[in-house]
Amino acid sequence: MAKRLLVCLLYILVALGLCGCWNYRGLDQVNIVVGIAVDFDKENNEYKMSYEVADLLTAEKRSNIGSRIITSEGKNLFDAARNAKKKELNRLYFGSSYVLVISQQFAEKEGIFDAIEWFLRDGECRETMCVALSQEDTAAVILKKDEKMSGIMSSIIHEIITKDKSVTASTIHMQLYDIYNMLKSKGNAAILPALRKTKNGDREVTEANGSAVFKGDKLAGFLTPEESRYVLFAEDKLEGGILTLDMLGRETDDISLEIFRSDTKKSFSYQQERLKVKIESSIDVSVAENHEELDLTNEEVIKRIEEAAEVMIEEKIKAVVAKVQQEYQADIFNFSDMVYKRDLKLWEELEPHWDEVFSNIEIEVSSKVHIVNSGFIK
Amino acid sequence: MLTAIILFLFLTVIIYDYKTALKQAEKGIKRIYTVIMLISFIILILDSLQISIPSPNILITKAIDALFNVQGRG
Amino acid sequence: MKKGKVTFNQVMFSIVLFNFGSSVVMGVSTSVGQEAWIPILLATLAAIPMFLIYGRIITMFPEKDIFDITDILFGKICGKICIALFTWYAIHLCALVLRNFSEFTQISAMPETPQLPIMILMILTTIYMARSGVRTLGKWSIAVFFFVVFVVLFTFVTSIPQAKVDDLLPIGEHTGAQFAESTFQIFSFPYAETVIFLGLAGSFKKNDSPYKLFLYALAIILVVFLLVFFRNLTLLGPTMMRANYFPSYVTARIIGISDFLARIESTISSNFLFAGIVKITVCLLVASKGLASLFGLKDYRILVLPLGMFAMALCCILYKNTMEMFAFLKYYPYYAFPFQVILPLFIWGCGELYLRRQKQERNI
Repeated sequence: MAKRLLVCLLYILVALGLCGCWNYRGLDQVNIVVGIAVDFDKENNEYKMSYEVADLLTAEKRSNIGSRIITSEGKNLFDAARNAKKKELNRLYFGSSYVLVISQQFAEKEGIFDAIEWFLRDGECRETMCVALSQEDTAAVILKKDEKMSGIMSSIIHEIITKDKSVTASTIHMQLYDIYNMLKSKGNAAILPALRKTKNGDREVTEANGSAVFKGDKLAGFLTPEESRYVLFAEDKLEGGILTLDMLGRETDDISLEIFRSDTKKSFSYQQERLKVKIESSIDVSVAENHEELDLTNEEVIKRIEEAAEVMIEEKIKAVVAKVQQEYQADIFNFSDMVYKRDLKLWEELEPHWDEVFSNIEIEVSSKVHIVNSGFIK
Repeated sequence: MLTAIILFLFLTVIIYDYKTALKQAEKGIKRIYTVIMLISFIILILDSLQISIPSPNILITKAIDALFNVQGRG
Repeated sequence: MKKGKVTFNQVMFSIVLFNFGSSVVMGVSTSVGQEAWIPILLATLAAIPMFLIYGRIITMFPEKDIFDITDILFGKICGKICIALFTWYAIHLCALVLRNFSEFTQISAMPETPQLPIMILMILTTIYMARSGVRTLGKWSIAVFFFVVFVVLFTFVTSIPQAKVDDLLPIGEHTGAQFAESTFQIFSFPYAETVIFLGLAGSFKKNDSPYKLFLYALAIILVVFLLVFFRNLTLLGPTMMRANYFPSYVTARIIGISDFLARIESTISSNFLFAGIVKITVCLLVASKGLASLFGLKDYRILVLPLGMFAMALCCILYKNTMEMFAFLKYYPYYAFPFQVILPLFIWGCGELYLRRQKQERNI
C-alpha cells in the first residue's frame, strides 16, 4: 500500500515538473507581434523598429481583435527589438508575425541582407514571413491604420500580397527564406513587393504598388504593377489576373481576359559569345468583359483576340526584361541560376563578368494564348 | 538554481537506488558505483558553479589536427 | 524467451532508429549541397562491407557480446584494453548524442532554459529504459519506428507541392575530394556507429542471420535518408540547407498546405526525441555492459545509473557552444575511425584465425 502511495506521489511530482516551461509566460504576458517595420534613422544612426501588436485585452465580443503600434530604437536590430521592453510591460513575441516591411532608405543605404539574416537566425520568426518594401518615407507608416478601420493591418497586407498572384497579379509574393535564397544565389539580386499608402474613399489604406528590384541587397528601383505582372509571367509565378486589350482602336481597352492557367518555360542558348534566353509562355484565359461589336461565337474574332493578346504579352515581357537589364542590371529573373544549373561549364566561364553578360542577353519571347470560354454570355 | 537541481537529483537517485538495487549488490559493484557517481557529481557541480573543466574533445581535436591537419583543410 | 532475447524485427528497427538518432534532425552531411545524394549512396556502399564484417563477427561467436569475444581472443590484458576503449566510445557517443539533443531543444524551442534540466529529463528516461533491459528497448523501437517513418513520409508528401525539383541541378559542381570527405562524414556518422550494436550481440537470437539484419536495416536507412535529403533540398534550396544547423526542422516549419496544415515542426522534434532515446539507451546499455565486463561483474544493470550520470557530466563539459558542436563534426570521423573500423577489422581477423586453429585442433 505504501508503495502504491509512493508511486502516486511520484506521478504527481513528475506531472508538476512537466507541465510548465522553465521560462513560462502566459498569453497575457506577451505582446503578440503580427507585423514588423524596419527603419533607419540617419540622424541618430539608429535602427528604428515598429511592431504591430495584436491587442487581446481590448477585444470585446462583438468587435474584431484590434491592434496597436509599438516603436523602439537600438544600435542594431536585436538591440532595437529588446529595447521595446523599456516601454512595455510585456515582452514581444515574434512567432506569429505575418509581414516584415523594410523602408526604402534602409534598403538603399544599409542593404537588406543583414536584416533578413537576423530574422532567420533568431528562431522566433517564421521562415514563411512575408517581406515587403515601403515606398513611403518610413516603413512604420505602412503598418499604421486608419482610425475608422478595425482588424489587423499586417494581416490585411499579408492577405493582399499572398493572394495577389492569383487575383490581380501586380506584385510578387516573397517569403523570408525565398529572399535569403535569392540573395545567396548566383544572380545576387532580389525582388520584393512594394507597398504605399493611398486613399480609398475617405480611408487611408495600404496598397500593393508593383515591386522593388534589388541589385545585391541594395535597392535599385521600382517596377510598376503592370510591369510586375510580366515579371510574374517570366518567372512562371502567375496564377491568375486580368489582361486588358484594345481591339477596336479606341481610347480605353475594350476586352478583359481573365487568366486561369499560366505556364512559362525558360531556356537558353549560347552562340558566338552571346547568351540568348528564350521565354515561352502559354496561358488559358476566359473572356470576362467584352464589347458588343465583337462576336465571340465567331472563330475569326477569337483568333484575332488571341493573336493580339499574344503580341501584347510578348512585347510587355520583352520591355520589362529590357528595362531591368538596362536600368537596374539586376538578375531578378534568375537567368544566372538557370545557366548555372543547366550548364555548369558555361556558367563558370561567364561568372566573372556576369553583369556585363546579363545586360547583353538577347531575349526571345513567344507566347500562346488560348481562350477557353467566355463566361455566361455568348 | 542549477546546483540545487543537481543536488536534488543525486540525492533522490541515490536514496532510491540504495533502497532497491544496491542492497543486494556485490561489493565490487558498490565500489565502482560510488566512484563514478562521485566523479560525475563533482564535474556537474563544478560546471554549475561555472568553473570550467577542460573538455576531452579538445584533446581529441588537437591529436587529430596533429595527425591529419583537418583544421587547415577547412 | 530466457535471458531477454530480442526478435529480428526489434533489433532491425532499433538499428534503424539508432541511425536516425541525431542525423534525421541534424540533416545528413550537407557540405556538397545539391549533390549530397551521391555521398549518401557512396557511404551506403562503403557501409555494406563494414556491416557484413560486423555480421560475420556475430556469426563467428553466436550469442556473445563483443566484450566476451575480445576476452576469448586476446586474453586478459589485451582484451581489457579493447573493452575499455569500446566502453569509452559508447559513453562518449552517448554524451555527444545527449548534447545534440539538448542543443537542438534549446535552439528550437526553449532558448532561455538551461540545457541541464533538458538533459536530466532525457537521461533519466533512458536510464530507466536501459535498466528495463534490451527487450524493452526492442519493443519501444517497434512502437516508435512506424511513427518516425510515417512522419518522414508525411512531410515528404506534403512538401511536394512546394518542392523545386530544379534545385537538384547542377550535377558535377564539386570535386572528388569534397565528395570523399562528405562520404567519410556520412559513413562514420551515423552508419558505422552501428558498431555499438556488437555490444548487444549477446541478446540476438541465434537463428537470426545478422547479415540480413544489418543489410535490411541499411536499406531502410538509405531510403529514409534519401527522402529526407530530397525533401530538405527541394524545399529549402541548397544555400538555405547548407546554412542551417537543423535543416529538417526548418523544412517542417516551411511546409504548409494552405492555412490549415502548417507548423508541423513539432513532429520533427518528436522524431528526434524518439530516435534519440533509442540511440542513447543503446549507448548506455553497451557502456554499462562493457564496464561490468571490464571489472568482471555479473550484473550490469546497476551500473546504468552512474554511467548515465557520468554521460551527463561529460555532456555538460563537451562543448562551450553550438558552434563548437558542429565544428567537432569535422573531427568526428577521424576520431571514430579506430572504434568503427580498425577495432572490428582486428577482431574479425583474429577471430578467423582463432576459428581456423580450433578446427585444426579438432581435426588432430
